[in-house]
Amino acid sequence: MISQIVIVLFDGFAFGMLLFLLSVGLSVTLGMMNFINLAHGAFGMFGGYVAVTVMRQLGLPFLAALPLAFIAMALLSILIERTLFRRLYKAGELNQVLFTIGVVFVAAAAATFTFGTVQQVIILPDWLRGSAEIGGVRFGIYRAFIILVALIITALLVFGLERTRLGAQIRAAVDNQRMAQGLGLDVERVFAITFALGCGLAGLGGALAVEIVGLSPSFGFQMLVYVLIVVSVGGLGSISGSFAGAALLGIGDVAGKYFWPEIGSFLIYLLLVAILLVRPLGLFGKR
Amino acid sequence: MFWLAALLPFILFPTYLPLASQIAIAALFAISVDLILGYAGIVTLGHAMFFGLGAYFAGVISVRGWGEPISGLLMAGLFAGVIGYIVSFLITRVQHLALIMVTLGLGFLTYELANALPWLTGGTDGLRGIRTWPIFGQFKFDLWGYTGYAYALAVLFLCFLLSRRLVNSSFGLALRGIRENVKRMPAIGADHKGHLRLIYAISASIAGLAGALMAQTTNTVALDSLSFERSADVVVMLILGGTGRLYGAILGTIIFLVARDQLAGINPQYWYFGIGILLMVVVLFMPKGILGFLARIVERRK
Repeated sequence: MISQIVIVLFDGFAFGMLLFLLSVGLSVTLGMMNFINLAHGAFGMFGGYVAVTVMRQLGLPFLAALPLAFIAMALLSILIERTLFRRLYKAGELNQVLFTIGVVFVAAAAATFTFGTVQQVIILPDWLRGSAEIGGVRFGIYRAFIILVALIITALLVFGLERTRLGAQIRAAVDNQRMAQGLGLDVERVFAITFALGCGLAGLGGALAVEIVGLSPSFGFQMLVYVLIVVSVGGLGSISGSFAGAALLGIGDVAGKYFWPEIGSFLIYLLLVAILLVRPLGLFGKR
Repeated sequence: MFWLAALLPFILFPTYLPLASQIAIAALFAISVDLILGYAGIVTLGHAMFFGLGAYFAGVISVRGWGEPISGLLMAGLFAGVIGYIVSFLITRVQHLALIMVTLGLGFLTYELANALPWLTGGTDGLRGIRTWPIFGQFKFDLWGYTGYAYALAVLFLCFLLSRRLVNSSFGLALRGIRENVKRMPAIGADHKGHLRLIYAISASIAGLAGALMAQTTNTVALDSLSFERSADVVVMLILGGTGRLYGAILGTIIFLVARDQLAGINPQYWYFGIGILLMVVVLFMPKGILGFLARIVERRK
């Protein structure tokens, strides 16, 4: 029983860390610009496809494919932000929701057209496969790897936000965009950089997720709900909120499906509704 | 004039009658969402909850031996409305992103609940053995859908008239006031939460009617009647046509379902691509939907 709980906590935390990478960018940009980008999961999807393609076509190793997925999605997001999303910052939330849902539809069609509907597989290097036994419990090595990567990224994010000039600008823009602008901050530029960073992280998360949740053109839709729950439960614009929300959701989801498979995701949604009714701004929400 | 055109499928495209009744049902559902989204400003991504509740209610009583359509329809609408009134107390507590997420979460909750109660709902297999008795004991539901379409169209027409009266009343004006400025309404002495709760319950009830219509005309209810896709589709239909206009809900539904029928027949990928592009174009260039866009052109001509 104890070992079951340990393994559920471990697997759930690993899944939560994937969700964290996929959603933290959305949380920060939502907190900054109030832009509800439901297409965020699509960046995760294309990140996954980039990783799969460069490994299969160019024969690059897994560890090289991950940063490539990040860079490709960061660049793509700059292009999309400049051409499309920028026009909608002043539009109402409903229009933003619909426009970005439209983007997800187009992304799904584009992915089907290019890669087909089959589930993509990623071939992990030998050292990431299998599991290690500690105290009678078998831990998946790949899941441990995901946790390690996510913790490093979190440390970098927190360090970057607290210690660097750009971090200070981002925090200022999240807390009070108008005030930051009034003090002469180029909020648009800060936003573009943050947006690219967030989408890059989504791409990285997508690449890491292929082995765990699979990759098909519906990835953007599947992840959308998870990402939105993390963001709304964690609270907008808060990295620690996203982290806590993602860990909670990941563990809750795996535990629910493991111990009570017959009720599926019922508990997660109940928790979501309950938390939002008590704290409409999320656990760590500021405004 | 529009309502006369709605009779055309009987003569011109009898093979499309099942699609036509599907459109009438979806249009009724879209009107229910328009009442809360277009008129009261409640953005919902979980309204299929009430559509599905109505469908399951009508289906379950029919399986248990009561297949009389009109009383079944009314009871299903009442049931969905009562649940809607209870839920409205939660809905009026939250706003913005939290509101979208709470509606989404409640929608998923209902879906999971139906999935977890297979003895009542049939679970993933759907509900089987629904038998709808002839309307007034006279008109049987035929294989080609003549009765089904006439029935669905009649219910749509009645609900449309009702909704039009509602939105043009002082109550409807108060709702628009709430949509435009939530803070100012209490200042002029309007009970804005009470208004919102009432319209939410009415909307839930109409959505329940639409669901019950679907159960009765197709004799099937499956889990997808509660799904997120259905909630999202109906919002998309409404936006395409134009929110805050009852005809917008109907027009959007026709465009959406006919386009899907035609495009998905060629290749489902084209459908996804087409609907995505259509959504983006409508948001960028026609913020008030296709009907709002047309109205503006007509005004310029004058």
